[in-house]
Amino acid sequence: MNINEIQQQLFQIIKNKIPSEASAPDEVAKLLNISSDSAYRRMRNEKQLSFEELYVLASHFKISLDQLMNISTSGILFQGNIVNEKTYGFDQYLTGMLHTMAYFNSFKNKELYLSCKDMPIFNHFLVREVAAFKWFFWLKTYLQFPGFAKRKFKFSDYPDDLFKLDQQLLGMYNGLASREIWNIESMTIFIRQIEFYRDGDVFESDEDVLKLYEALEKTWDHLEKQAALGYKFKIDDPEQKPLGEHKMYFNEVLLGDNSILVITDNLKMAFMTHTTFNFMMTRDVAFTENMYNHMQTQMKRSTLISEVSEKERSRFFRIIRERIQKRKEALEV
Amino acid sequence: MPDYQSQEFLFQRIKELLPPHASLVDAVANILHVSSDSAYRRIRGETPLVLDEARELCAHFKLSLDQILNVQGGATMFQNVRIDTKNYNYEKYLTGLIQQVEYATSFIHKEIIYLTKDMAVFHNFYYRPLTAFRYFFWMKSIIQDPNFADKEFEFSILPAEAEKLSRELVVAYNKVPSVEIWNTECINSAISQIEFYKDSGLFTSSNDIKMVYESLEETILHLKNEVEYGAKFMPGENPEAKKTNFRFFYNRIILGDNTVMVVTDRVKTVFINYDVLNYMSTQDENFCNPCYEDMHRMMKKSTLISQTGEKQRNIFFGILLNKIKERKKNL
Repeated sequence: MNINEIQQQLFQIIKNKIPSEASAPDEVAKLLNISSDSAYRRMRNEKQLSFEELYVLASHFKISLDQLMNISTSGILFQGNIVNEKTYGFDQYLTGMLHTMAYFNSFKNKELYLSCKDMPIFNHFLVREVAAFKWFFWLKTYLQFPGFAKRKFKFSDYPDDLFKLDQQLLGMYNGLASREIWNIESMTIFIRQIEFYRDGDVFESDEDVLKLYEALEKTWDHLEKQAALGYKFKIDDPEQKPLGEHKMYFNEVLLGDNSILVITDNLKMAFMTHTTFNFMMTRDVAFTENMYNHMQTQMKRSTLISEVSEKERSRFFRIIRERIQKRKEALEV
Repeated sequence: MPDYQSQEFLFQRIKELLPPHASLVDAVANILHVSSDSAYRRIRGETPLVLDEARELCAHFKLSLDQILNVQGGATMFQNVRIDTKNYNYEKYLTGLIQQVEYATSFIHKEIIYLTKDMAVFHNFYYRPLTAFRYFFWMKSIIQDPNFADKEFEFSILPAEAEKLSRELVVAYNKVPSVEIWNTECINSAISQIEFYKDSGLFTSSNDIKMVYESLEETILHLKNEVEYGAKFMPGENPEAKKTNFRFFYNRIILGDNTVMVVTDRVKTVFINYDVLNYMSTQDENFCNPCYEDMHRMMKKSTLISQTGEKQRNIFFGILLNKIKERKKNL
């Protein structure tokens, strides 16, 4: 395709995206801050678009230029910040995630695919005690912020502002359709972390550990209900009003890597986690297509346990519940 | 984003992709068929690029235009290695890994740090039955080679070339000082894959399943031996004659994600694994340095069980070996 054809096709896509009652040249003129005549000239291919104009149009109409121009890439560009105490704290990490989720929500059609090594981060925010523990664990043990070095874990230390952010994130996630590929080990590390703190006397008492396990059970019960219904709903909603569609797959062969694929109207975005906690995003067409195919294959190899396959669903949730129960029984309370 | 920023960003990325001695101006002038002066003006942002030029440059350097136009800072470029059945098959993939490891070996100071989710890839290749099973699993379930679609597992399925390359890879890896951070869950995938194929009727005899499990058991015992000596060697080799170049950590709290860091003289390279076999790498310091710190934090929170920590070492390997024993009992 030569450049004139590409420019023509770009404007064709734009025309299709503009409501029929609106005028395409007027819209383009307004966006590019030029006269309607100048817009016409670009649309008729009498004048080539500049890099800046291309950016304005592509980002406004959410058009993939790689797809349009058939650019295949070998290098893949990822964007992301790495959490640290000085320049990118935990609250910024959550706020960044919130902005990203809000961006997904700006599309008409959107769906999340999650390959779960651990329980998806959003589910940690369902019950405050679980959110408090994970926050403390990440900062003390994973990120090793000096302020946490000698601290013991207390539920009351968890800042209200952070929990508010958690709830906003959870609300966004609940509103989106999601397909999640789980493995029986996806909860193992969480339980191991609780035990690690218990062995290291980081909890003030076994009563606190019990309280945490009970909160985890509450989370787990909610996830099972969501799986049974095939949609997400607020944990405190007695009417269980349906939010985003929820598909849960039980994969017995591969443990995921916590990567997330976002599929929107006409583009895909991939989020990869690295060094277990941080994540980075790419829109690279070949990369996201490949991830999409990989996830599709994994879903085919898994058992869908939301809505259908009650027996397998019960088995999956029971195994984890028994693991939590066993830990609770070992407590000295 | 204002025009000049994305334009500047595009030229920055191109510069990173050029060999150190190459001139950016010459490269741009060549690709766009313009004079050096005109190329300069574009690089300095004085002349805005037009659509055609942006496309020419992106296509030439295989850069994503979507990315260039959407970048808000904090961007890292990765080189991608993806295995397939046509252009980059399993043998080429292994050859690529050998080259990467041998390249690291060529430096005076070098170290590989491996934060594992699964058994580090190199340890699959000590004994033929396990090498054959892993090969079969990857070809059938991950690479999805159509020739494997209806095949059942047999040991003879492993081609001589793949076997030779697998061995060469371990031999190369054994020469480089390395750190591995393991969790007792790292063996689960290997076991569940054997179980899945067993349940799906893809083994022709229960004796074959037993042999694969025994091979996995031998692998773990060999690894334990290596950890004890703090040295890497092939089965049958004398560990006493080897340099101590292996540090092994038992991590109880975090399951890694198969991230590998190669540190040579002054350059760090991070390899991020995805979709089981594929990986991508970067040498971007803004990315590699925090990763390096992360890995060191992880080591601090883990127990060193190579050359030292005999009790913890016995506990760690005892857990792994028990998992295999349990499965063998059910055969």
